[in-house]
Amino acid sequence: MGSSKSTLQHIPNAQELIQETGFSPAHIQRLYERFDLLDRDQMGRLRVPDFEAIQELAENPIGDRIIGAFFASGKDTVDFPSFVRVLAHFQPTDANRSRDSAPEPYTSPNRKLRFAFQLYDQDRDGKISRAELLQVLQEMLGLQVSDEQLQSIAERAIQEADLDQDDAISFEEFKQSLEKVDIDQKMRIGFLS
Amino acid sequence: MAGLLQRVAATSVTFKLSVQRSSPVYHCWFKFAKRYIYSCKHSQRASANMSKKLLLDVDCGVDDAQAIMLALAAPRVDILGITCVHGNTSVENVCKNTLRVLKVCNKLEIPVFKGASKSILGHEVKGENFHGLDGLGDAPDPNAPSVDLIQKEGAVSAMIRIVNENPGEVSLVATAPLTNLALAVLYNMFSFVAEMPAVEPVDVFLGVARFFVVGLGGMGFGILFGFVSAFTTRFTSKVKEIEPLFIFMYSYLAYLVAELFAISSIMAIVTCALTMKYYVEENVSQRSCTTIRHVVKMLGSISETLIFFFLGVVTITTEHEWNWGFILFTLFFAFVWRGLGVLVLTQIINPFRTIPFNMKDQFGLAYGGLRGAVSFALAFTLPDNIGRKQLFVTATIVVILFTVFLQGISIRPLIEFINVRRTNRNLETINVEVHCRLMEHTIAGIEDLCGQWSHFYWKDKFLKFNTRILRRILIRDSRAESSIVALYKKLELQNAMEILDTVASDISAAPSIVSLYEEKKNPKPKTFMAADLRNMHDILSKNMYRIRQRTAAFTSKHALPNEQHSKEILIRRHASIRRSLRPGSFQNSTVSKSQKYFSLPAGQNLDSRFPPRRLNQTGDEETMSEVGYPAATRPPRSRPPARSSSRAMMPLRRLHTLTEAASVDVLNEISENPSSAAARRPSDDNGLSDNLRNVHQEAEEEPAPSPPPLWAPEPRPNVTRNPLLRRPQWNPKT
Repeated sequence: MGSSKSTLQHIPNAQELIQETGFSPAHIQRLYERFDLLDRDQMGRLRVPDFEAIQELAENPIGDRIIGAFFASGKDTVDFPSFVRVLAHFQPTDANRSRDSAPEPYTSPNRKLRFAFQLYDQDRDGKISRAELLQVLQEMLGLQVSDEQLQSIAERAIQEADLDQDDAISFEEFKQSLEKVDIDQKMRIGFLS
Repeated sequence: MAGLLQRVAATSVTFKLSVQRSSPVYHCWFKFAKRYIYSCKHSQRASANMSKKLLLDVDCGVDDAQAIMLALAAPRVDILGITCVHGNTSVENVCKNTLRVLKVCNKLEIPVFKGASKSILGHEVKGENFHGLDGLGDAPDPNAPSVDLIQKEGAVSAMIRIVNENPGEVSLVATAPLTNLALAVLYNMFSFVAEMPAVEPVDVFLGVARFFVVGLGGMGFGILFGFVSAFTTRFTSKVKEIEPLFIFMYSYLAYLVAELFAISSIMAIVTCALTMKYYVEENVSQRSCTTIRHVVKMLGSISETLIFFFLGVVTITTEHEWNWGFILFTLFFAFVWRGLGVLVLTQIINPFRTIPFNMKDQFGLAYGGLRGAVSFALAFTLPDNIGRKQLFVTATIVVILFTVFLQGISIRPLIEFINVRRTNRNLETINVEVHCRLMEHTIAGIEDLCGQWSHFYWKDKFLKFNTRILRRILIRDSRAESSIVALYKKLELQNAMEILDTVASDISAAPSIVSLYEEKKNPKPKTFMAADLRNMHDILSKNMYRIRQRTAAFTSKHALPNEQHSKEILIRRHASIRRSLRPGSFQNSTVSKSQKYFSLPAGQNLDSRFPPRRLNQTGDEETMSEVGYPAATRPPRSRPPARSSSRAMMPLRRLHTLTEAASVDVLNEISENPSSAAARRPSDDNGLSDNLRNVHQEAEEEPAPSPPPLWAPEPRPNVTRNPLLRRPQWNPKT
């Protein structure tokens, strides 16, 4: 977009966001428009009901966890920079190579994994406990399987991943169990590339 | 292909001369037979069989007249016709003269054809000075035969006709300028060209369209038949034995119907199988699945063997037409096209791949292109009217032998040498599946959030369509099954089978868990308990008896021999029994699940008493290494879970009464840690070993207020009464 500079004026901190997250100005523009659309009461901030208004997201098995991931702990509103920062995780990894800043770029596999890890780890203790795993499995598999099977599956999953025998999956163990999976491919949204 | 096989069968049984000559094996036999027969009957054969067939082309001057008369007089010569051409004299004279000669020799039945009246190149040589004005010396002939005897058919077309009627047998004797012959050749060529269809742009377009029709049509047929067969198998629960028959029948039917409509039958059968596998695998019984798998593999091996056998026979017995240039270029181009194909296609699909193909992979793909049965079959079934068919067959055989032998043998060392990345087939873990599913949901959610879709949307849509409509129609009891659950079941089944393979003797001799299960179903608690208890006693006594045979030293108070094996047998037995008593445990094939419990009873907290290291020594490693627990990514250590499901506690409580489960572990521990065993002696409130007590402390602390539904705790004395079940009195201090 040729006239990108002028249209970004009304977006607060646009330049910083571009620098930080690696989005192009066009992307930021598009995301701002979307943010505006979702923000029904036009306060410049999103709240949980705004997210839940998206029907498909509400139907998503882990929809509430995804929504929760946008809200930093303790806060109940999301402003535009936080919105963009969360979405920055889903860019393809190589898009950011040139703008690599000293702290870890948003699109590194590590950050993506950490995002996924936090979807499990709701209490933020740095480990996926058996109960948390069970909860996620329940949400995803829900009505199809009996509790017994869910427990067995959770049991087996922890067995496979838990290396230090603490009956919970830490982030390192999580990373290791997914070492053969191309995270970039899985956690990427096409239109953001 | 079936025809080829039939012919092979025929030749192996008999070699009737009346059979068609197109089979090469038969060809060989035929040649031998022919030579034999002719050598036997050579003297007896009538001359008619050996007569030469001639076609004379004359410009009847004096010399041609003599030639005609010589030919007519020869004993084993059959003149099929005489064609006249302008040469020594005009063609009318030539025809007249020929007739005169024939009349004199009394052979006017031989047809005479009138040919070219001018030379093609326009050279004229006047022959009047040699042959006279009329070509035969101008002798007066008042009784010349009438020119009506000349055939209406022209010489050129007559030549072609006669030669075609007697293929390979006619000799052309040309004593005249070869004008007729040249015209015949030209005529052939031009008629061929004239009959060639004109290629218009529409034809080009239709040609391209045909490619898509053939390919996609094949796939369409395949999918159609796949659905039909899936629908059929939905109703075959009462006739399980013929399920494999349906599968084979529908696949072959797809092939045949596609052949009928001249579309790609190979695509049809492959797509049919792919579609079928997903739905049919859920409908048919496990046995049918196994049967189908094995039969198909067997059929494949048989077909391949037969074809290569046939290939070998053909290589040896046919007359090969060898042409260095053609064959070497064919070989060269085979490599080139394959390399190009691999290169282009990998460039196209690499962006979409999780792990793109690098150059080594591509080399491996290109070099590994073996040609085999299909190319041979295609070359061999070329129609015979293709003139160079033999050359094609020879070239195909050379390519096949080269690729199969040289490339096939050399590819393994080559791949190892260049160190191509191999696929690790053991990628499936529940973790990966669960986390990938989570990520997919996340992406789907984020995409909904951002209001844009990618291919996840379509995949999602298709899956929904599949679940809602297709599965309902095609699968017997269609419950939507998550891939996570399916993978979990599959992995558990794999583990179970691995155990059975490695530890066959123990588990197979196990008392039938099913009988225990059936006992469980018995609604009357009283009889159940007694019967079940008796069963348990029997089982344990059997096992104990076996143990006793091997470790008789226990009772003699010698040092315990380090017989891990026997302990493991018992432990496994108990584990399996415990497992069987867990309600609902029969939905999973959980034989393997208790692997981790092998040296520990379920629900223990042994590492609070014994450091895990010691436990490693006892039997865990042997157990683990022996059965090769599949999750080999982590080192095989004992893994006492800090918590375990409450249900696992229950059976332990029951077994508590029988005490045997722990006793061996007691021995285990004692063998490693004799001093601490003694320390744990006190605080026994039911007359049993305190180790047992400690081991089960967790179990007893488990809040389980309601008594276990199946058993009532038996009083202790019952146990001690039974000498076999008494714990061996081993006093480490003595």
